[in-house]
Amino acid sequence: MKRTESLMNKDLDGELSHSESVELDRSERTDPDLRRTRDAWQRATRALATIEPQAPRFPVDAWAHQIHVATRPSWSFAVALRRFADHVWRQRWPLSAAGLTAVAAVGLFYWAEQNEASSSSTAGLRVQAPKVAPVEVRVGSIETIDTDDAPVSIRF
Amino acid sequence: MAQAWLTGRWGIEALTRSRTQADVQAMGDRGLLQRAAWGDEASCKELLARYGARLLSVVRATHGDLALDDDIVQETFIRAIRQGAQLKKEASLFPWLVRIALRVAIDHRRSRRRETLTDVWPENTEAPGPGPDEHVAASQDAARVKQALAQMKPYHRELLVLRYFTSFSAAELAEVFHKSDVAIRKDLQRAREAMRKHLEPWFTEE
Repeated sequence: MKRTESLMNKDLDGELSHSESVELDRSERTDPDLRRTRDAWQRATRALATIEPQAPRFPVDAWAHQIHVATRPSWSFAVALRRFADHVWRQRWPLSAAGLTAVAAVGLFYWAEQNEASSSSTAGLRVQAPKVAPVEVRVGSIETIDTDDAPVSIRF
Repeated sequence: MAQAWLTGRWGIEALTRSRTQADVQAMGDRGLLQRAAWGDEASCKELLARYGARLLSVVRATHGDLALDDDIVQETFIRAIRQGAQLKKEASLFPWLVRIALRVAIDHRRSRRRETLTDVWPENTEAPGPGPDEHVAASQDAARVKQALAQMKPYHRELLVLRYFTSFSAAELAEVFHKSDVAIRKDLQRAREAMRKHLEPWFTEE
């Protein structure tokens, strides 16, 4: 690609450095075709910049409401928790953090009270296992009586 | 009681209403997107106030169908609010909105199976009022360029409009079209060559 074409493209891309701009201006003075092309492109880009009004009017409130209706979430516990988290960490976190700390402190105190109450009900008592007399076992003969009426007795 | 406050709508709406209008206007784009996704209408309105007019002008310049342009812009904001999490931290909002708008416009084009806009550009029924010749010439040039754009491929039209009407840099164009800077510059060059064919008299007249 010719040097001037390359500079022209950079000019149209808005990336011409100062020295390159000077070089292109100098080339333009000696090359009428280059000047004609550059003028035509300036005319085209100026026209492109004005093909539409930059700030058209539209009904902002009506559109905002339509967009809001189309995008608002259905309520759920997850959404509520998420918004509460946003409130705590982004909006009024010092007060909410103090509040959460207070709630945590109350919860810890309650839990400690419960633990202390359960441990104090058995204090001072010693549970002793009942004494069991040793069992004497004498191994002897086993006598069986072979009759339906007599109870079966086993003698040791 | 606490559970009712957490889950009750009145509690949540009270949290969002607690933000004043000044707070909403001072909020960043990502914060507004998030709050709009959670159902805050004031955030929707602020987003529209910041970017609605610019986006509408870009859509009209690239698409040109007045009947659909409003729908495209509204659909763009709806998609942006629903997909707000996809906006990268370092990315700016307007190029992202433009990318969504171009995709919505493509969807509309496909559904209507229309590739050219030669019969869609609105007729300029107002005669140019008496004024300096420069203004008349400028409006004639703009009309001529519009005709040329209508006969170009949609991608080249979008490139030229975003570059010279919206003043996007090559880097922003690369972000919109998910291409490299080098590729975008080459595509811009091809788009300019395509436009030059329609404006050849300007390049040859003495």
